[in-house]
Amino acid sequence: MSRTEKDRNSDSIRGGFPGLSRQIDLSRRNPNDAPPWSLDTKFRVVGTDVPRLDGMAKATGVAVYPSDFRPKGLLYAAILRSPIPKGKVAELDTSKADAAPGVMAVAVATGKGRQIRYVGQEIVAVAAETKALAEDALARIQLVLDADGDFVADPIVDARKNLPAVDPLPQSLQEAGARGEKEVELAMAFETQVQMHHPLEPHGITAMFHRDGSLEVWASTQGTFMMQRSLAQAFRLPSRRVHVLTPVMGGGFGSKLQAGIEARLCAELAMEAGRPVHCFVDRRGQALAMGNRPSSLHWIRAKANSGGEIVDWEAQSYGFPGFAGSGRVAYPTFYRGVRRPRHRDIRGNTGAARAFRAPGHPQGFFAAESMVDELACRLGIDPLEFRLKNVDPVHHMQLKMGAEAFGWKQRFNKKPGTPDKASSMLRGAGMACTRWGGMGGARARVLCRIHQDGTVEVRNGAQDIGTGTRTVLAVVTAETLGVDVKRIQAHIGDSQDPAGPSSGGSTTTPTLAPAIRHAAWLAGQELLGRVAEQKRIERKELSLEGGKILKGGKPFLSFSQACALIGPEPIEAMGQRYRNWRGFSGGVAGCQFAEVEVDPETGLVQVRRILAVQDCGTVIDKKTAESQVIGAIIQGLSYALFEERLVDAKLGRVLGTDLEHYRIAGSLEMPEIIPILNKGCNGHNNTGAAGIGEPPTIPTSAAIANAVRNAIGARVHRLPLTPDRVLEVLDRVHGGKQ
Amino acid sequence: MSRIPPFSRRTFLKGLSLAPLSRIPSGGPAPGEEPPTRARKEGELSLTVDGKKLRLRVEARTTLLELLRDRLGNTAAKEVCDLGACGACTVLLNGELVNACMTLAMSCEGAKVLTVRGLGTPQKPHPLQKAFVSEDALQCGYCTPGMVLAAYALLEKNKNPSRREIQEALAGNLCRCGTYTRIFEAVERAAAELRQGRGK
Ligand code: FES
Ligand code: FES
Repeated sequence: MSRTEKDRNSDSIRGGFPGLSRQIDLSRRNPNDAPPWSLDTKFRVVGTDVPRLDGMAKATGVAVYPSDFRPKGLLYAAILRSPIPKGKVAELDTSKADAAPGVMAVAVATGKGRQIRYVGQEIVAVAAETKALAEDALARIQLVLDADGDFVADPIVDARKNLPAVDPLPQSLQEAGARGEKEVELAMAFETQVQMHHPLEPHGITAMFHRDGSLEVWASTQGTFMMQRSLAQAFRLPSRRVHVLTPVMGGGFGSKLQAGIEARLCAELAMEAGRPVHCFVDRRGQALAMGNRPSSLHWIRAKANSGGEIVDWEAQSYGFPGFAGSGRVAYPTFYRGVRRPRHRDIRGNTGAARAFRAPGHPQGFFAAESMVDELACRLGIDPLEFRLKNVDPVHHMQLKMGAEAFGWKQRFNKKPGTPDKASSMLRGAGMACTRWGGMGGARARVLCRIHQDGTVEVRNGAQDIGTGTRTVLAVVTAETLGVDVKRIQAHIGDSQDPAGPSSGGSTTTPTLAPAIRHAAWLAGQELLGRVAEQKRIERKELSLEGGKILKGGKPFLSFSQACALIGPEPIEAMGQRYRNWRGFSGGVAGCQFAEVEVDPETGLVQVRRILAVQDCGTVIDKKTAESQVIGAIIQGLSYALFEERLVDAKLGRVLGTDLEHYRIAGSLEMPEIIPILNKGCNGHNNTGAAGIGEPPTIPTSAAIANAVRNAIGARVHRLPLTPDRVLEVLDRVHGGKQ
Repeated sequence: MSRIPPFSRRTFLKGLSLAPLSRIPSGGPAPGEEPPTRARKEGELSLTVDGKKLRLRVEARTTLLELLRDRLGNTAAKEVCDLGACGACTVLLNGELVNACMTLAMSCEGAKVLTVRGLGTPQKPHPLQKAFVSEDALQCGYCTPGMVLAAYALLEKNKNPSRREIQEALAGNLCRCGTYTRIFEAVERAAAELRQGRGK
């Protein structure tokens, strides 16, 4: 075991912001809610490493994902997509496809006379006995399009030209470094690329209409109830007649929040065919039509004084969300002096943007954190010291904690641009901060049943997108009742169970955990009531602690003995999600440190180490919470170094619509990753839990870019940090020679 | 404005070379013309999947992945890229790792296919499967069956792989949730367990 591993195991949940976390206004707490957990609560299960409950089903291949479900008589769908970015459907004849071998249904998405707005727009879907037959049938569709040549392939190209003036790029290491000036004023541009979601399980559903006219749907979705509502609306059914099932699903990252057109088409095909239909989007469709993180362009002018304070900041940003969606960006306004940008979205004829893990944040934080870092570099102040001077108290503590654990002093390169003697590599370190809301609070209900045999059933209809929702249900219930996790049966992903949130905004856990606790607490209270009744004693003499029933504070019955008294009718309690309390902080904070190595010959950037300090309030399950941080960092690294959607300017077509040509970080590019969970923010609910899925992906690209700046001695202003972009800067500041 | 005649996914490659504003000859049927019917060749196939002997008729163009998922209902291997680029469809074919999406079913005559279901069950998991769970080496889990099998193939050849060797063995498998570092730890843990188990 390496030293860092040992450190991590012993101390990876670090506690609290003394003096800050306790300033919480409990006056708005609902008196009917379960008693709240606090920073001082001694937990038995919460915060430990409970292995995720569905892990074994996944690892042995028996978990049935929506795309795996194979009911009898299943048909497979294929979708014909527009090859042009703009125009109109002039003619559409599907009769030959309808008559093709094995075809059972045809559904039109974009009919005659309708507009086409991007390459990949859905035109027709066909359902046939096999996927191959469905694809064969697409070739028989007669489609004539009126192409409009006046489309916008990539609006960033023009926007670049219209940006306000920026400082000339430094032509030498000296120019890029500190020049001993008292104050600096800089004007710079930054740019981020389009990133595709590419969840491994494709978007789609398997749909079937039952004889009674109700619709059953197995959906790969981030919102079972949203899917239910959308389909109910589309087919004019009452919600309860649409049954959505998502027992497990293969990732979404924001792109599966809405019920896409493929879901509607699938149900239409199922209705027409009178058989179940499997409609999952192929990889090319994923790349073209299932959303993306839009590109962005930033112009920032900022000033810092000799004391290292940011005294002036002005910014203009642009987002390029395609034909629809939002390209808005967020800046780290917790730095004193950093202000929000003026923002404008510019549309183009490409697939629409969708929410993508912390929408708008990695873009804005890359730009703004680069600028903050550059001010420090030009003033000749250590970027850590510079940030400490400008940041809020919570980040201040986290930065200090992180810098020490990371070894900032040793790793920060004091001579940027000078190769390491032994390896001839350029080394550097960088950092960036993050902030996110993630407090949850949407309406949710949780059902908790205690059975005579001592098992506890807990139910909510929300889905698990990979974070471990099922496990959260079990852990919170086990802790509240004081019983072993093994007693708990947790059910999720079924719209017939009590309503839960969509998984967006890092709110699933903070929304559900308090309702789970409330349900389990109510069920426990009821259990005491039944025991009192059966044993004919005063209810108020009894209490439930550590899984035991106490009478007058003394052990009286075990949990199982108590359950045996309740009879065949289980105890049933419905927990609710009460509103959040007020408190000192409205979100979670974090910071990350990156160490990189740059090859001066090739410009290749390799990330060696990333350390994250991340707050998420009460850590419900340590292992899965850390996994969220690790996964977010890996996605951030992939965004920083590799991922970039390219569009052919002449044809308006996306290039690299497969996973071969759209590069995503793989096993070979993995650095050492050290997550430190830092419990500071109180979730303002009875469990104190806050969200963690999104915040740790926000600062990664900025931290890596700042580390590259520290290694090579000058800044790359555009993501991803590809070798050619790095070499270009190296050539410039080193005058073409190393 | 110009008119573009029929277009289908199968003619996309052809379409790539075309200017957007010109009239293009089509891969689909012209009005009044019958579309060509693809001759569908079929054949007999016998193979063993997870220890079970099977004999069935398959179309010549059916991939091993389609056979497993759509015909046999064994959905352990996943379809993600359908192009050999992600490893989600990984299975062992006569002990060798293959991408089932790039393998024609007919080429598997007499072969032994192992999916992750054949490697272990929730009741009797393989040490790798146990380690994937205890190290939380999975999130959404869609890449997991492929990852487990790739790791299994590595440990069959190399009982004590270095971190780098593990990374290399998994280089053909993509995980979008970002579980790689956890996976390395799981493989190391399983390898250690297997070495001890066999030493006894
Ligand atoms: S699905 Fe076979 S390699 Fe991706
Ligand atoms: S765990 Fe989701 S893709 Fe690997």
